[in-house]
Amino acid sequence: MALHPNTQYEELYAAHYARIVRLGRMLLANPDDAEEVGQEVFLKLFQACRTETRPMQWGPWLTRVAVNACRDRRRSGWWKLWRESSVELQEGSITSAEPSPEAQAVGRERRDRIWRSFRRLAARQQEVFVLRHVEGWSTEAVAQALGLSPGSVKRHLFRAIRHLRAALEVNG
Amino acid sequence: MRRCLGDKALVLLHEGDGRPEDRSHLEGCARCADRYRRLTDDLRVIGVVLASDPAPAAVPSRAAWPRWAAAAAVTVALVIGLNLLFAREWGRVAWRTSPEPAGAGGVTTEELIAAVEAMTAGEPPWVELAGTGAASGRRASTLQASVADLYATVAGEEACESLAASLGDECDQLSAPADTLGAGFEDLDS
Repeated sequence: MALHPNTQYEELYAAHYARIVRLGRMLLANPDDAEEVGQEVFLKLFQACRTETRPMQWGPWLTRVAVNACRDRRRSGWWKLWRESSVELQEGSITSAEPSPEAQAVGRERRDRIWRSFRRLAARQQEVFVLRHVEGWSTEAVAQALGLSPGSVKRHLFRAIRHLRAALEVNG
Repeated sequence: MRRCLGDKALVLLHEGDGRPEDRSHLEGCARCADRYRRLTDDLRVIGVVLASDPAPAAVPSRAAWPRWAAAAAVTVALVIGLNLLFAREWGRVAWRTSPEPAGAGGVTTEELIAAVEAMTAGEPPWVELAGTGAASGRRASTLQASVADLYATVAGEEACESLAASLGDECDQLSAPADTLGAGFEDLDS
């Protein structure tokens, strides 16, 4: 029996909202933008829940919509660049709030280096790496979601890994 | 024994791809196995850090341009825009306020038209000008030369046009007004 659209939406919201906002914060430099992307994605979900009658894999759908929304936001005009550039990098401010215990074990300096390195990746490399190694998607699923060939996904992934590992290897 | 695997081959093997011979090498080579283990550890650490909440806000992205670059671009665009705008506006004002552009020798178009009209109606104006002093004499010469130039130009154009069709009698007609240019200058020469 199919769920009522509102019930389905609420369940999906509870299960995925935090993950989608976190994904947005990974792909965008600005946490406010990430929140806006989260709202935008779940507004689309609300509409889709009412119109879509076929059974859907809502988790991957949400991720795909979120990645596209982040990409659109990055492309949305020069003022965005201005806004991003106005965010000054301050030592010690990167992971100022409490990270997970696992991440705490990594050490603050190392975490900062990883984030710094991740932010300097090309947008496509960020997307590929996050979907493959944070979301745990297969190479084929990443390729399909981003409209790339599997070979292209592997190339982006290799470059991203090389760059990120280089950041890790500096002073151990 | 085969050479050790490159980074790319290791990443491919980690992704579940890679050639069977690379995989068998990995199983038999302690050095490559150690590198593979470190790669796995690094990816796990990176994944944990990126997945940990909260993601940082204050890290400049690759797309972020320096603030001065954006400011410089806006300033340059503004200067060019204002230049174009004012150049057009000033040009228009100058055209409105400046007197009729003088032809060769300081003769205005209006004077030239009046001279041609006077000449076709009766006595050319330089006849009158010539008798009123040295300055007026020079002016009369200039006016005469300008009218002569004008006729020569018109005659040349008409001749070209008629030549294109067929050589006719227009050339005789064109030379007729030019003959009248010398009228009244017998006195000046003497």
